[in-house]
Amino acid sequence: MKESSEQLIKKIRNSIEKISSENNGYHKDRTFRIMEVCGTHTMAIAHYQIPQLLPENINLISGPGCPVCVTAASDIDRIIEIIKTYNLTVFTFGDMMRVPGSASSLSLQKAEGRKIKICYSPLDSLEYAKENPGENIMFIAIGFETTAPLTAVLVKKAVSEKIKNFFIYSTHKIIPPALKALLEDREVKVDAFLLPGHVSAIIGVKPYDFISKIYNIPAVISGFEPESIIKSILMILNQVKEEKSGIQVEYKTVVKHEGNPFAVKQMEDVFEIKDSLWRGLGIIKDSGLELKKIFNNFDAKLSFSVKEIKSIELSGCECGNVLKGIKRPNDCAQFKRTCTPDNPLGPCMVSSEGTCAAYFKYYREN
Amino acid sequence: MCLAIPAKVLKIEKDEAEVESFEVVKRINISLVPGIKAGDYVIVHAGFAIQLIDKDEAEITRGYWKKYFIEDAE
Repeated sequence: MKESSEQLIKKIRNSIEKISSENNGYHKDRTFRIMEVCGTHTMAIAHYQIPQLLPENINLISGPGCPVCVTAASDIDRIIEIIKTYNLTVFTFGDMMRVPGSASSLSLQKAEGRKIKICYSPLDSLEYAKENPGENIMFIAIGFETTAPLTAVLVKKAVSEKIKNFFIYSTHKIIPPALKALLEDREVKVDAFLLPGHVSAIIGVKPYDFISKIYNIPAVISGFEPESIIKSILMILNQVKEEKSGIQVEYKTVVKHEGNPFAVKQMEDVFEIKDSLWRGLGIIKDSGLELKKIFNNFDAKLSFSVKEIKSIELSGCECGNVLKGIKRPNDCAQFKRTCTPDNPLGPCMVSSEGTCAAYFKYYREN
Repeated sequence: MCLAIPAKVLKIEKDEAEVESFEVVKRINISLVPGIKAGDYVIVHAGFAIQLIDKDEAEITRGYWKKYFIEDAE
């Protein structure tokens, strides 16, 4: 008979306590920092109060796992400049609406009368383009490897259906180079990674191999239920205890070792890899996806050129440090004071999966 | 944003499928999972199936999902 989740969690907690009390590679008196890089993990960990289940020395740190949060102000500024200059109908995911640029946001632009619409599926934007041939439609393609294959399908559909009034502004980014950048950054101290579940469903295990092979850091691809997260943490501690690191899959339901090679191929057919600017982390080499030259006709950045904009990051906003896991939301002077979900100053509070939004919603004053 | 939920494939029509997820039936795109058939379980993200999942595992996952993400939401 399948044991209840409560029983399972209790068993796993006991195992963690046991490892903590043994004298081995994992020291219970030393802070052990586990970083997750997935907005959905940030929310699940906060919602199910996972830190309360763990010994005090294990710190769960939130990293740059929210694609909206890592979108640079300059991208928002450029998108807004395009919208102001050209008469477009813009489609985007809901989270992007309130992300602050230097002076405005998509939400504010919409309030001023610009045609900006929220879609759940990227296909909605293409459907609209087909039904409204007199309008030019721009889809803001944002997301990591979970979402990039969807944009790839969208582009291929636009090609095969000969849609002429459809354009894509790609802000897609890929995760493994960001992990590498974090491991190379002396300010960021990561002892282990909880790897994203759905990005990994697409890319599989191999892209993460460098984490153990080069940096000797344990990493586990985790599901989203509390027992999955805490089991993944136990798997990490076992790796430390046994002094061998590797990429393990806890989220076996969905993540196959090879991922979804067909989805990866769609991405490779449509995108090329370029350097990309991440809010808080700066430019990360080979971490962004841009449309290949053969799809120039659909590239909003080429079709709707605008003058260079000087972008400014909001002063006092600690999103950059929060995204790197160096500071927690409570370390930011604006948190809960001038920066709240109703009045967000930075993207970490705007996004429903942002670290600051998670802390605001779930963590009490400590 | 990376939220993806399990769903059961009911019917397939070219590059789309009718799926059922927590008693809600909807249409999704299946271009990324070629070769799936009615009765399969998939994980759905932003209107697309992104991966096939094991049926027995899917039932367990749906159980967790129901418990944590739907019931707890109230």
